[in-house]
Amino acid sequence: MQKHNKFCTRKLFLPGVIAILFILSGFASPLKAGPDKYFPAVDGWERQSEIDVYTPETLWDIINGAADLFYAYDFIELFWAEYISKADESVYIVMEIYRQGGPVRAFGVYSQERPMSPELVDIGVQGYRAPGIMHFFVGDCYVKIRSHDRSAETEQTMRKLARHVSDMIDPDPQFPVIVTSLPEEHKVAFSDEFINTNFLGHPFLSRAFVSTYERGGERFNLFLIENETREESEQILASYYEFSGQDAELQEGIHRVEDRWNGEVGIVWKDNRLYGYYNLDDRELQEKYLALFSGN
Amino acid sequence: MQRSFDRRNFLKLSAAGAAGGLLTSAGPLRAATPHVTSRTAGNEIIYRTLGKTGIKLPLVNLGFVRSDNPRIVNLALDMGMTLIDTAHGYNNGRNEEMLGQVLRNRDRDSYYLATRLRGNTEEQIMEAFDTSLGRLGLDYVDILGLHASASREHTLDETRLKAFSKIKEQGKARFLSVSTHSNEPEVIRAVADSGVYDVVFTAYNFRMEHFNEINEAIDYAAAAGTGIIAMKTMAGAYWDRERKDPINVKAALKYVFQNPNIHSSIPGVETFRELEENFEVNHNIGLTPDELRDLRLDQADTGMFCLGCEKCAGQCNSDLPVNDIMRSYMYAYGYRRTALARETMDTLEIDGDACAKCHPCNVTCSQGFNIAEKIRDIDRIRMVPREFLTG
Repeated sequence: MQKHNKFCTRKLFLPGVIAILFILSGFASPLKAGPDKYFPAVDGWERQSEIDVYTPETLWDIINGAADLFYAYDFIELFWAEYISKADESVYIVMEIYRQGGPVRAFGVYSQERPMSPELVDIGVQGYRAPGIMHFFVGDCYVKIRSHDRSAETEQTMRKLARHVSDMIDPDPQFPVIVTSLPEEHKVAFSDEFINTNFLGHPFLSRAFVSTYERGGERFNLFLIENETREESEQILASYYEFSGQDAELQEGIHRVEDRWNGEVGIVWKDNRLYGYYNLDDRELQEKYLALFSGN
Repeated sequence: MQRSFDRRNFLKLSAAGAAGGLLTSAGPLRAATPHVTSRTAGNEIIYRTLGKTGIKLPLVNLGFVRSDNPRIVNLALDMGMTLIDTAHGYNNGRNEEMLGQVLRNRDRDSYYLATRLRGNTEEQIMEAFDTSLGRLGLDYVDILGLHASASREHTLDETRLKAFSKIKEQGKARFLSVSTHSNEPEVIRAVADSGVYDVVFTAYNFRMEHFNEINEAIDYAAAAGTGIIAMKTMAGAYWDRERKDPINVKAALKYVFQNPNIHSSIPGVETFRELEENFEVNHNIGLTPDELRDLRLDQADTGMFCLGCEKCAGQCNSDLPVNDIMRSYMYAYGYRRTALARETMDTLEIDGDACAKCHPCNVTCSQGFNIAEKIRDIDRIRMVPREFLTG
């Protein structure tokens, strides 16, 4: 079967390497029960005997260019396994558990792949289904389950696997508080994202929570960057002004950066946080959000 | 040096060198016909033709752009990039959705859209493709590809060939392609032999250990009319696994286009600065001494690499196309591509005696090359039997 080619080849060459990597990385993993426990036996399905483990050094080998997305969110390790239907060997389910650098990063990478109008499932902190797909995030993991088979029986098995993993990682999953920090009014559903690097296409902007808003048919974005320190916020703002070529006084409060690529970006600097807007031309709304973020 | 040359090619090169050493430098030199542009005046963009598709593309186009920044795509199109590349699976479809929103405001004739997908059955391929078209909001794509093939068998699988051909017959894809980043030479040759696929997207960069093998396959495919687009041109962007020692990616990108059979490239972009730097390569693929050093090719003498500055053009008292001859020299001694060097020399149709009779040489090289000596060395290649030449 074609779908097996890549993995069969690896299995010929990599079992020793994988075993060593597993030994080295598995004990340090917060998946304390060990990856085996997250891939349960399922009636009517044959699970591969060894769980494949991929590290930052080997992720690229398995998902190629798609690895960059996971690297951008501080990828730690991937646990990968396939289930084959005992009734029909051409039917398979693949489950991938990506462990990222914390719950916010897990949300971030999940948010990058979530469709604009997801069909939600009550699994993990948030998850959705589509034909042949079930994705969710929970704890510091982003879980992807897929199958080429669209039958109800296969989907049922996918749900069982999803439920099992979610409960094992965190039986009471909650959104990280920071993810819900932006205003709810006018927010477009499922538009929350966490951008870990190169926010707005700039290397000096990172770790941004961003949401899309709609009012009067116009869409715009609000964001929040939470830094470790006040000085970090100041440095980011200094870099932004250096890029824009504006001569501005660096002090807490309201700033308007003339970004030649993104238009005007309004920013409120409060201690270690930078709140802001972009894609927003309505002056009245600009003032409203600047006041809101300033706490006035 | 990161690249390694296999023994077979090394022996061939040695044979070529030895044979050349026994020959005199004299050869019939005639008029010049330059056929590769390495630099344009002002803001002109260098284009190459994508094989038998006939599409003319800038050297550097746009690969993966994160879905959260459609402005990068808009800017790339405004700058003059014309090929936008994506895949059915990128960001679980979000990437195609984002592109659809950008492209709906663009004239359909102003860009080429390439996407690719996986599928084991005709139904899977058709379903995935229709989903992609819906996300993109397009009636057709310019290049539809089979995603990530790693073998001849996979590439030439009848089911896939039939499904892709059917899509093309329906007018929903103008051209068909295959992408590969594993076992590339085999896949590239299979694409050329397929009679169905028009284009191959292949991993191609200066650090690949089987660089010669890939070059041979690319030459084979190009001769068959296959369009060739380079991916992973940045060679991983870092020298080290810890990703702390960055590669000069602009130099890496320029290096790719020293091969005239690489028609275009699709580096991914995350920042506006990266986009601007990549785009600069569309004006100038000449490598500076610093860029060559950055690529750490110094185990192969960087004195072998012509910078393509073309300052020597027009200097020669005998009207020899010195810049093109130096390019041929670089192919032979810098990149170990003796067959390409010979082909370049043949194309130039120059009179070797013209150089031998003229003394002293009046041409000044910005890099300090002894031009007369290098012309004498490279001209010998035309006396070497073709079966000794490779690459």
